[in-house]
Amino acid sequence: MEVDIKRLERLALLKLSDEEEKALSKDVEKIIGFFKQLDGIVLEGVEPLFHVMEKEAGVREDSVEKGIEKLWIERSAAKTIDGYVVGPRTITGEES
Amino acid sequence: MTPQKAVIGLEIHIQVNTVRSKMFCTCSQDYRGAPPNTNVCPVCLGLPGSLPVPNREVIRKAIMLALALGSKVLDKVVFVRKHYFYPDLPKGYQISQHRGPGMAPIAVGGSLEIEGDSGPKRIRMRRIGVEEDPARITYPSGDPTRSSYSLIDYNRSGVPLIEVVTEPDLSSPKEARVFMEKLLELVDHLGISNPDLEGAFRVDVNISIEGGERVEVKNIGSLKDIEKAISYEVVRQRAVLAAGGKIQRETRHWDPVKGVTIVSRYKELEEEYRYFPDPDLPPIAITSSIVEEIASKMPELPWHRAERYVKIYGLTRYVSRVLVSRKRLSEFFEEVVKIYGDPRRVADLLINDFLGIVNERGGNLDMVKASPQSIAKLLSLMDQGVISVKIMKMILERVVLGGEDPEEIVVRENLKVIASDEELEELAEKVIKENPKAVEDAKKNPKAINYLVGQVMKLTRGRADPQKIAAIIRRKLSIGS
Amino acid sequence: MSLVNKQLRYVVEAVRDNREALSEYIYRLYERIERYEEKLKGFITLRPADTVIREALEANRLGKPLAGIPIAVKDNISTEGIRTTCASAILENYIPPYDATVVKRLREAGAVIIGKTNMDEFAMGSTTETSYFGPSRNPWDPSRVPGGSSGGSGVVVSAYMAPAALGSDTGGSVRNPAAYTGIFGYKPTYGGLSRYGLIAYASSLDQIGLMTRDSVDAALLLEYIAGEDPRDPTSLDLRVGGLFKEISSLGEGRDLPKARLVIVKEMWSGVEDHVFKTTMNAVDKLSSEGFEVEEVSVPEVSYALPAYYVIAFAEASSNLSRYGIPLYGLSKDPENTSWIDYYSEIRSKGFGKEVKRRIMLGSFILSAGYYEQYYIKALKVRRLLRDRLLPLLRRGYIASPTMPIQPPRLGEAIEDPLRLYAMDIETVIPNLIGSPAISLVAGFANSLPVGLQLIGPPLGDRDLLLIARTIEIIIGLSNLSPQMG
Repeated sequence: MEVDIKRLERLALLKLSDEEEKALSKDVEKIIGFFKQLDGIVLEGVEPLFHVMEKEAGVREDSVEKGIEKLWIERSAAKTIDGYVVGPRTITGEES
Repeated sequence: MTPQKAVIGLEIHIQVNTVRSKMFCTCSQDYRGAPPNTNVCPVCLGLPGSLPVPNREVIRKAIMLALALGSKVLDKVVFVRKHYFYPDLPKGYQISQHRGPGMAPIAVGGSLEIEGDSGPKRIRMRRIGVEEDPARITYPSGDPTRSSYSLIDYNRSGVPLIEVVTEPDLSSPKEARVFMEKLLELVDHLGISNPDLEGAFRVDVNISIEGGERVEVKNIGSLKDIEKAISYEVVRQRAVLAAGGKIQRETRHWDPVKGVTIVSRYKELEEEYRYFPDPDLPPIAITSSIVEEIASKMPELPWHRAERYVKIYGLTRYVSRVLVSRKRLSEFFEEVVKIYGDPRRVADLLINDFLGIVNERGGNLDMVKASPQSIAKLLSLMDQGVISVKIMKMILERVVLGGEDPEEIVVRENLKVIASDEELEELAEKVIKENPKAVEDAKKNPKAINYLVGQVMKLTRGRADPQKIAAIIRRKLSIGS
Repeated sequence: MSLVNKQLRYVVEAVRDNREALSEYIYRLYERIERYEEKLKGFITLRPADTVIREALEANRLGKPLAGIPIAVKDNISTEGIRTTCASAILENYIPPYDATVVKRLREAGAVIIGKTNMDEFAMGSTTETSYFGPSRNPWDPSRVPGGSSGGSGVVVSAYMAPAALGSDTGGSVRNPAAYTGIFGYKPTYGGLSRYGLIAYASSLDQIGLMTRDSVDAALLLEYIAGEDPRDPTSLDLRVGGLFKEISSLGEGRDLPKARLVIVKEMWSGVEDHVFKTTMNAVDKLSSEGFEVEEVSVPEVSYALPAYYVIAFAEASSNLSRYGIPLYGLSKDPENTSWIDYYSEIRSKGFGKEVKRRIMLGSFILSAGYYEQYYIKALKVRRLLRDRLLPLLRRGYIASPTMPIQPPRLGEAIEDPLRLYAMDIETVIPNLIGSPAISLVAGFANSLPVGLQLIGPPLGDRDLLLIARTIEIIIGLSNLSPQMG
């Protein structure tokens, strides 16, 4: 099989139960099979189209505006301490 | 057997801390000193639905750097998404630049000439791009391994960075440092970055020893650490190879406290960045007229400035190089020369005394409060014999760091040179009387006269010329010189 | 007849100088909501009636052009101070600190948000069944889906719970529920409405769209929300000034504009019989009214669906990387947890099955070794399609059924992903090529409305809407009322 489901879980930062893993592997295989239909079309000399309108991006003058209120952060974060957003540990169990 | 050659390439991230706003939003770029999470908006917090809008000025500055390095500026700017998860990255990806299908950095190629270990050497550039800085993470105990949580401050998130990637043309820790010094000088002179601000640059180093794989050491934050980390890694890799071991391709982190490199976990995650062109940011065309316009506004490059000092001011190469190590210093120097003249004398004072004071405190010129006028005045006061060298050295710190007017200090604290011989004669007489033992010594050994001179200087609080005092004492004791 | 059954433009006129009529109108909407919402589940968040009336009266008092009219907004469009969930557990308590540009413009014009409508989770679905808050139901037949992903917006407009709604359309999510609930659906040219504040599913395909009782209402709202936005570098100027006036006067004495309809054969193959017949009848009627009809074959069209899904999944996996950070009203305490565990737990619990499927496939598509094999290839198909279809769109409008099948019953389509994806076969094409497209009612089959899709050239929105109005007048099936119990 082409797809290493565990690797995809790591890339997507998802932890699936065994059952989910089984069901998803099946779907994923099937869908990739569907994507393989693209092998049937001749694409020689065709450039990929990344931006459909091919419009030049707007750029911004270098100016400053006020951002959002501190209160919003305090309300929306799981936890704050002295204005800092409390985050998880940045190292994993094995390293500590 | 000679040790195997080290092959070193650098990936340098320099904050563009000279603009007003962040890379993709209108929050202030100057995050330093703001209370945590008060310099943020939906864009730099990566909130759902927000969209990035590129800061034109940063792109212009990156093009300017590319031109200074002789790189080829590409005809369009493409931003890509670089994916990895980490608590400092609010979107789960960083908007950056890369090479690949549909992707292109600001510029490719170019080089910077440095004084290598064995003469002049060209270090080739691979690419120059722009990207955004992640948030800043600190720890309640200061140490990630001993903290049960992290503290995230998004104020830095989105600060513009210029990324410079070199070819692996460096051969020693010292060359890497010399290269970095020169690059930082350049970005300073171009008005791209003040390299002396905390966190103004970070470096990833690729190091390999002939016969081994390439190791990447990430996140080095100071010039000293660049040299140290490379030295450590070269020694480590040589030791592994000497013991018959193999160097694996891996990512390591520099621990500046312990002075070692440590292998990173989750290599796979780090290496699988899944780059693709950011669909939110259509390419920006860079026409030749834009490039020409930027080239026409390019400030004088530091090495051209140094050459000018040698040619026009007659300074030595060494002195010129030190003067251009920071734009502010060279500008200051030129201002003082404009007022005072005598470039050599000005250079001498700046390099020895002035920089001495600054370097003692970490070397950041931002602490300098002195005006060029005050330094010119200080030199004139010496020329006119109003103050002695000793007094100059004594008050220089207050002039440089405190921004005080030297003339005012001299008047207020009565530091004028004692010009009248009578006064000096009197003081010499007094010292001779009070130190019979020293007088005896001086008569036997002419060198011992220095003690008496010192005593007189003490009484004048440094306001006299020691040579003049020595002459008076010699005359009084009838000893020859 | 109560104002509730009228098109938005008539309501605005009726309440402009009559605040009593305005509050009366809003009360009537809430009456409808009270009666039908429990069964149909059009809203995820409904704002209290008194708040909406207060805001509406204020907008009316200030003489704003939309006079306090309530509008429903799909729950993936950011609303300051109003919970915006994307129908996902991961954003269940997320209250944005800012308004999407379109919402800001609507509010400035005097519209009031009545509530946030149900949808497929992160707009990933075609039936509104992947919503964390449960599925919506079709007002024409509650055993059937209302389509998706903007199913809730379709439901509330069709069931007279709001006169108009904002939806979003990545591969048909406005046109599909418009077709299934018998209303008008309009997806503008890519970039024609600012995406700032639209929670991204697939950024290069996403577009905010309008769901209204007919094309004239869409033109009215469009004038207030269109226009380049400095916050969206991909936004464009649609130049629709004066469109409402022009479109309103169609059919008043003057001859209706006619156009050429292009029938791309491949877009009519594999279409369910009833649907085929109903839409072809409509085309025939237009032909007899003076429309030219041209049939062509574009074999590349058969590759549109896999190309669309490759691009959508890749971009989705990237856009959804941000979820897991401790900032979206999550309550999970980060202390004593490693970041990998913290993020993966939030993501694993917070995303539904379809979302996980798409994120994982998207990560796969973008990963080393597969990027060129799938992603780049899909983008090449995208260019090829555009190069083939744009010349056709210079000649006429591509007409097709909006949906290849009639609305499935709940649970019917959702179990088989490929069957679900196949529902989008007609609607993904305009998103791939950046074109504007509309869906309007072509007729009925089995007592259910059937949608006709019309695709115009990029930036041809103005003419597309004028032609849509012409067709509405000719076919005579707009502002329909589902028979509800």
